[in-house]
Amino acid sequence: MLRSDPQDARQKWTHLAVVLLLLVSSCKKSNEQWRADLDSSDPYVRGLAAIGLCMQSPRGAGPALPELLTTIDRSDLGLEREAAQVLVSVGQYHVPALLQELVDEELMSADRKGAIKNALVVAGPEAAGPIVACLEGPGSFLVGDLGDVLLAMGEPAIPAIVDLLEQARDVRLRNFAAYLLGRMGPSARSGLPALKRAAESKDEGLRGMALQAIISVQAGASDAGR
Amino acid sequence: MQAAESQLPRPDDEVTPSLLPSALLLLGLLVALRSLWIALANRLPLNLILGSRYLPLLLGLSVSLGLVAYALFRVRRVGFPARARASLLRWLLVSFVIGWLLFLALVQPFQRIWFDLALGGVVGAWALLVLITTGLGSRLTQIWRVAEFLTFSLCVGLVGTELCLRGWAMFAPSPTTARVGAGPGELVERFRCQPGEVRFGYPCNSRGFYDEEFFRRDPGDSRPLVAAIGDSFSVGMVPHSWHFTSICEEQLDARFDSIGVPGIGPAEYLTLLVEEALPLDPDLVLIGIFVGNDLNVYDALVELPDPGLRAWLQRDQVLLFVLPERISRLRSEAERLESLGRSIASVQGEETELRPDGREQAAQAFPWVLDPGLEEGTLSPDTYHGLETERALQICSQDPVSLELLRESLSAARRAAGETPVRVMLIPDEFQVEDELWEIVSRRTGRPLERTRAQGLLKVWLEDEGFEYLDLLPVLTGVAPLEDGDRHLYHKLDTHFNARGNEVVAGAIADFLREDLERIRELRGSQR
Repeated sequence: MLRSDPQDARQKWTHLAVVLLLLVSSCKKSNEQWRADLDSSDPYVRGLAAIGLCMQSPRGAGPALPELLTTIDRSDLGLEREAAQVLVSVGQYHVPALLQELVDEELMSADRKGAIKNALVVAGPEAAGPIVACLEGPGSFLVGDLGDVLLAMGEPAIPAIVDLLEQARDVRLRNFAAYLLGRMGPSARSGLPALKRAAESKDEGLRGMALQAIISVQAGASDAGR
Repeated sequence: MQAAESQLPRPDDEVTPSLLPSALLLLGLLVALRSLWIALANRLPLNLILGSRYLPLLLGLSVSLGLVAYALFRVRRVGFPARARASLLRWLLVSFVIGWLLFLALVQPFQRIWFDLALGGVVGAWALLVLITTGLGSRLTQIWRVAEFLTFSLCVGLVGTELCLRGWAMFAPSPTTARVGAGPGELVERFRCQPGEVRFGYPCNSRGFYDEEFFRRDPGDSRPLVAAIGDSFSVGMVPHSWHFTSICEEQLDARFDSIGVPGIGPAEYLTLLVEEALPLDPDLVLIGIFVGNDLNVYDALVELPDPGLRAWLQRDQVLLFVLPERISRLRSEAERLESLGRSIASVQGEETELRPDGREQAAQAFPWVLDPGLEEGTLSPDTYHGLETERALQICSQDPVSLELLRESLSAARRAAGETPVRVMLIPDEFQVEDELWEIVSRRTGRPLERTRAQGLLKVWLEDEGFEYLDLLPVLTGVAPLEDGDRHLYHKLDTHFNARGNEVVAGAIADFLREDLERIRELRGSQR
């Protein structure tokens, strides 16, 4: 009798631990539950759901994006920082949606725009191509903002910028691409051949910008060499 | 014999049937379990929000659950002492009141999920107090009873004080006891101009308003004081000397304090009234309602769920917290004025320097002030037309979503203002004034629209409620168009009045308020 008491106690604790483990694991919200919460009348619940769904299922977070972006603007909820943080982590899977948001909402707040730009930067080279396509299309008025994004991306964005430099139909965009490469300095060395070709363009503005960019890239490289 | 007597149960320790304690503890157990479940189910976002505090939260809720479970287990097994029955309920009240105060101090603004989590902690604290009460030896019982009495009395006093303050606020409204939501206050802080921020060569004052420094009205000053509250129309998109409030000051020989914050709506006007305007002791308050977007705003007070809980758990709704804060601000204001060598009742303008720009200098610096043809558009035409179209759809084809909110905000403003008269000014959207823009908007919506529906809805209510109001729509549509067919009263592609529009509006306000201000001067004169 006395020898079985410690064994009984150990068994009871084991059962309790198993029950607790089951309890904890069963408490996880499913994607469907998060999506259902996106329709809540409480904006805080919606914001939490958007964050939760994005964290749990980044690729499947499309339905949560609008609410996530709204939450970024809702200073009264106090979730804007977390929403912006989560947007950065899921942005790479939803680049077209984010670009569309920039195009559609010209009057969006600086906070929201900043969060989208950060997300695009973190998305890296996967976003560079769609950004360039956006600049050539409906997002031509976003040169300033998307240019900031490409600059912040750095070297991974160079192939896309070179494409813009060589293939854009609008010479102003080609100018802009040369400008971006110049701003990147020595890290844009791989863009030099394209810049040299642009320096022979018939367009005077493009020639000038390309030459300036070449100087910036090469000067920076020379300084680095010293 | 003595040993036997000491083992007999004392009357106080008599154990009674434990139905009520068991029921309450069982309820507490369910609440604690629910709180823990919520914390676990929402662990992804909560972990992000709380960071390193998430695990302690989980641990705390688990401990709470354990305490309640143990208390219930003990009650079921051992019974419940008769002496502790009343303590059970007293400690319950104490736990809830202390939880309430901690929530107001530490967990703001109110959100339902934090309340649900906090409940788990409160019941755990209650269970602990009950366990201590029932487990104490005779030596500590007396001390514990005194502590219980004191904390219970204090908690009852606090709740009673809050109830009395709310009763007082209801029957004798005043600026000091007005309760406003945290949401509007935060929006005001977020969108308010920065102190010293220069706009059109003129710096915003120390409160972040695009005007001279504000000072409390001097009873000896014969000039009436009008507090003009509004959104970006009250801020203005023109040099300060060309704003309608500046022009009204000249035309009416009165002081017009322009209390404007861009991007706000009716709920925030109430906040500005209570926090900024009424402390100045104005003779009259003029609230500018921009019909274009003040009828379609999100309001933290009305549309959010759990209004009953918010009324007690949102700090700006609780007078115990609000009153000390307001008194402290008034004291700071008096100290600030003293450091400038002024008393709180000093006449404004005696010691200020010359203004950095007058109307002539401003017109020279900004030629578009005198010639609307020189204005440059603020937005792209497509964006602007899209914006105006969206507004038209919201206010010209259906009942505006926030009409009721606007009504409640104006009623609350009038209550908060007490005896200070409140006047309303309805500012139309540009598509209601410019015919060409109206044609563009109508074409884009492709559906029948009632151009002045919003004014119609508002005016019926304002008249029913006895508000005196100025409708600017007929004033502005009464202005003859220029050669190109437009009236040019709004800045190009901007939605706000230009200098020409400000002049027209100032004239209308002057006509509207002239009698009021003369009456105020007469009253002031007769009081001397």
